[in-house]
Amino acid sequence: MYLSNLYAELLKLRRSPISWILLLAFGFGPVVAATFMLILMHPETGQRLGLIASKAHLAAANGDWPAYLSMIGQMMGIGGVIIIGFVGTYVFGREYTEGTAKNLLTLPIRRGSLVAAKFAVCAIWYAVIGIWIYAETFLLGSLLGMPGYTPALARDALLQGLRLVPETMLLVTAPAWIAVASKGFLGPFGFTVATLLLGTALGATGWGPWFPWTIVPLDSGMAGPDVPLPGIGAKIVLLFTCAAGWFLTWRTFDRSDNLQ
Amino acid sequence: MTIDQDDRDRMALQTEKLTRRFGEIRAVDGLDLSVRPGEIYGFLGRNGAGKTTTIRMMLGLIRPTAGRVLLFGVDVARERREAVRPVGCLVETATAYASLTVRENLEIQRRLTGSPRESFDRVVAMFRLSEFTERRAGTLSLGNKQRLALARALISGPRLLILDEPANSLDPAGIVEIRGTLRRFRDEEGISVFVSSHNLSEIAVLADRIGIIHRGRLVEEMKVNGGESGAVEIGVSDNRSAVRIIEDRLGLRGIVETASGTLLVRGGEAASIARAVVDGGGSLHLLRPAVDNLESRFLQITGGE
Repeated sequence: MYLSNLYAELLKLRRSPISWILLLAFGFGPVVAATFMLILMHPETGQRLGLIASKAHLAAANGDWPAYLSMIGQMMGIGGVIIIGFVGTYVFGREYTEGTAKNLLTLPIRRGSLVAAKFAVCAIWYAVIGIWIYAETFLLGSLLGMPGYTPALARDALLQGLRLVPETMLLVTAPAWIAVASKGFLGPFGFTVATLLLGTALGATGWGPWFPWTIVPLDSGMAGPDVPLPGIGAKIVLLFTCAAGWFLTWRTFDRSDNLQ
Repeated sequence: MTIDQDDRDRMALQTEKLTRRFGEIRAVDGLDLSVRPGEIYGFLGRNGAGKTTTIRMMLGLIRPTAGRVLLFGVDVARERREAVRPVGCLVETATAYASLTVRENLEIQRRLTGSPRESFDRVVAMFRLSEFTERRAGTLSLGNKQRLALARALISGPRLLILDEPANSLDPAGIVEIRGTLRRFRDEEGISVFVSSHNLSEIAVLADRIGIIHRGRLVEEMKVNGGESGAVEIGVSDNRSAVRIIEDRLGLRGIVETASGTLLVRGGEAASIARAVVDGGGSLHLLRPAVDNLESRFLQITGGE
């Protein structure tokens, strides 16, 4: 039955225009980063671009692979937290906004299996986004002939991606729960915005490694090379957040009133 | 009245003292009703009477505050999956995954209910959906969406259909079609149907038995289509002779002539009344449950509010 659930969820995701729109939107990130690098690689041409050139200089000092991959890593850290919020919100919230939750919840299937299939699809979706971003990153970097490439640099960037993508996935359960509890999109969207604002504030006060939505951005190196990456305690916080969100999502699906 | 386990097992659907409160409001209040196998049970009530809340409890979408729902003897609150396995349903509006085709919507339902592959072709043919199978559900007309919803409800070959306002937003042709489909299921496959509506005339011509819910309470149950509580309206060529025939042959009294010239006959079954009139040499051109009578009764019960 779990496989049937998974089939249904994958089909829904594949057919939804939102999946493709989100992929394209997030895929725009490496294009922007590559454009900045291009400007920095050719400062004389870049000066004619005015504001964009200023932005590029603010984002990085040099137009090379280390700066480019660092920018992509931070994009995965901060942007990923927003994207995973959208993913969880959409996969769970759409059942209420489209009025299909009442059909789904009257089926003779375990609601735990339904929740697990939905989370699996969220993870698959985000993994596809991650693969897409890194593939696009390396393709654009190669096309631009950016200086400073070394195999070790590429390996480190990919290892960072392999760390950030699963960490980010762990944050999907909380917005999913809010979507189920509030029966729609608005609640989890508000929640995602609130976590970003709170994360920014807590990050500035040193509490970042203990707040789930700051941990992934910190782990992407956004605080700079002098700040150590979050330790094992932060990973435990992420795991606990995921487990709590999962439990609450299942519990709400299973026990609460499903009125639409 | 005590209900033993055999009775429970025999019933397709049974509620026992079913109650649901929302804060201070008793949306459903001690509801006792049952639906027999092969019966169409009409659940009638005004908007806000508690119909949808009752149906949601029947399907395990919300939990009762007290009491319970048994589907073929299985308690929904305790064994939801087992209880709803033989049930097909349509709750309020017909909804589907808009970006999926009709085929994909049905395929999802088929897989999730563990139904055989042939069931897809069966329901597509049954609801004449073959020309729409590759169309996205979001582009379907309201009537076709309703057909899709019913096809989805029936794809698992249920023994009980629970339908909440299935004729909502349908044009008269669509309503007639759904009515015919439900009757066919009852007659050919012995499926029980629990159908809620606020449309009195629709329920009167469809159901075998009607329960009226008002302010969360089941205030009256009656048989229709000639049952002991309902009345039958007949149209004949000669009223006086028809009255004599019915009185003589069936022993029924109190037959009244309506303003439109038809006769209201109480206490007899439609089939036996028709047979008596025809056998007695009368010419019968109308035979139907007396909706006007049901209407006045409904208004009387619900206080005409």
